Amino acid sequence: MTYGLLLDRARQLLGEAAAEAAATCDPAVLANWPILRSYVYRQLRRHIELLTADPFDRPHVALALVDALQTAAGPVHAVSSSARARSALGAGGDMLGVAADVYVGHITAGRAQTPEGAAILAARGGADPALFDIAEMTLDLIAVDRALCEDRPAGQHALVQSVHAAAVAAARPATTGPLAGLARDLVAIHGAAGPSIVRLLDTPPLVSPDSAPASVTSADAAAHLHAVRTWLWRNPHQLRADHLRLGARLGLALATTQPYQPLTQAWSNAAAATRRVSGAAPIDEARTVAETIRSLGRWTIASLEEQDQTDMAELVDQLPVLAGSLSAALPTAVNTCDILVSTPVLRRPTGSPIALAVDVWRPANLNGQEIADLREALDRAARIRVPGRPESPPTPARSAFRNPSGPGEEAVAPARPRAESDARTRRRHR
Amino acid sequence: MDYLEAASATCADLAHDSAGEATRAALDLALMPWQHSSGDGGWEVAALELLDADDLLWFLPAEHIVCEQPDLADPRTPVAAGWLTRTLAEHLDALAGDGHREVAHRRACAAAAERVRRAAARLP
Repeated sequence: MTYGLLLDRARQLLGEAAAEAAATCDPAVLANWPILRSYVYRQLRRHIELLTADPFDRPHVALALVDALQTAAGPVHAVSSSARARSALGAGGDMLGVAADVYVGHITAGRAQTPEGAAILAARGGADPALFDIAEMTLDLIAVDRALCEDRPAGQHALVQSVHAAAVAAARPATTGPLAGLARDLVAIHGAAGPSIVRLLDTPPLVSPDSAPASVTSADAAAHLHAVRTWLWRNPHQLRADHLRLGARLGLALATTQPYQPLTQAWSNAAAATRRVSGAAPIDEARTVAETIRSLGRWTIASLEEQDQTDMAELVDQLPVLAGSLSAALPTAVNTCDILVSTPVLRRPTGSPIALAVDVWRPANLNGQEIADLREALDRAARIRVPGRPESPPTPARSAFRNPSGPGEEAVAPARPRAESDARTRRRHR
Repeated sequence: MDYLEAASATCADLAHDSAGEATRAALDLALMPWQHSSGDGGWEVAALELLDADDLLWFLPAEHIVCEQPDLADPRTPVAAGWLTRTLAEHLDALAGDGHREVAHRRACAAAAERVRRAAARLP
């Protein structure tokens, strides 16, 4: 479930909680209420801290809202999972917690963990439009507190009256303090920014540690490709020649499903450039990834006669990220001497009119022509999108990157920060 | 030597190549039109099959035939590439049937023959 859907579900649960807060006279529910509302306030605070990871870059309103949410939450109490599950308020807090975990899978402590995370960090300034959703949910939660503060019908048992009074005492500061004003300010600031692409984030997929999964449908294949390109982005130090070779061929196979010559040419150039690249075979998880890419390539070729273009759209959307991940990881692999490149050396066999060349392999150099050609081809493939395709529902891969305004213009794919690998390169060539 | 002559000579060589030494050179020659195409000639799918076949034949010597670039506008080029590819598939079948070879290598040759045959069917 995506971050956006989780937030929507949480809002729905807060709506149910408001109705329950206004009516309940159950002393057990009322006794638990302060703990549960505190739990949800803390979840909202966590979201704001995640969405504005750098405190020095945090907008003033968000900074003040974090403090106000902390005050509204009150003291921290442990709350059991069964108590949370029994109440709409607790379940809403759990949904918020899961949504925060989805976000952390892509951006942790302000650092991108996936290409989508990098695109989000690159696209936004100090704060994200997703703050709008959290500010609105803060207002929803204040509405729950206000509902709780409403008087209970007369004639209640003394126990009900006392636990209700305690719950109201815990909720009152949130309804009368600056929290609502700050949340409304944040809604006003981010309301015009439109929906955030953060809403499209889903849990980052993992590659199977044991064996390459088989693809049956294009949805399977898209999920496997998503897992593979996320792995490549996260593990540049494990890139091997097999990933480059098979990745470029997979890109070419998928490109042939689209009637767009620049895409085919870019991936064709990349596949041709990888013919001059070799190296040690990948091991462990890296081997599974290579096998998965190979299996996806075979599936694509086998599907060419059966699938129409729309079936392949979700896969093709991921090609810029695949190319970008391969290109970004290449310097790291070259610097660890895991990539070899070939130079053809001429020889003429006796008695044959045909002149032959044999490959002589040597460790790749980042400044060498072979690697430069390969990087150029991959970088070009990372900037191409297919124009004029019928619109399909947005996917994280498609939405995470800024697309160009006109057909064939180059889109901007996210780049893994190259500071570390470039610094290493400079050291090697000093 | 131009591409057409090289393809013709290679087909002749394959007929006498019981050791498989000319196999990957022939594959490389069959891939040459794709490498010089600009992504719009329909060579790509056949190339993907041939590249897969090349991976399977890692145990055979890798060589490249030195010749001029193929003229993709010449209608004889796809014909020559098709002839070369079909000859290569028959050659791989023969290698797969050679009882003196390792079983694993014979299997690889049989799988590569299948790939090359599919490539021949998908040439422009």
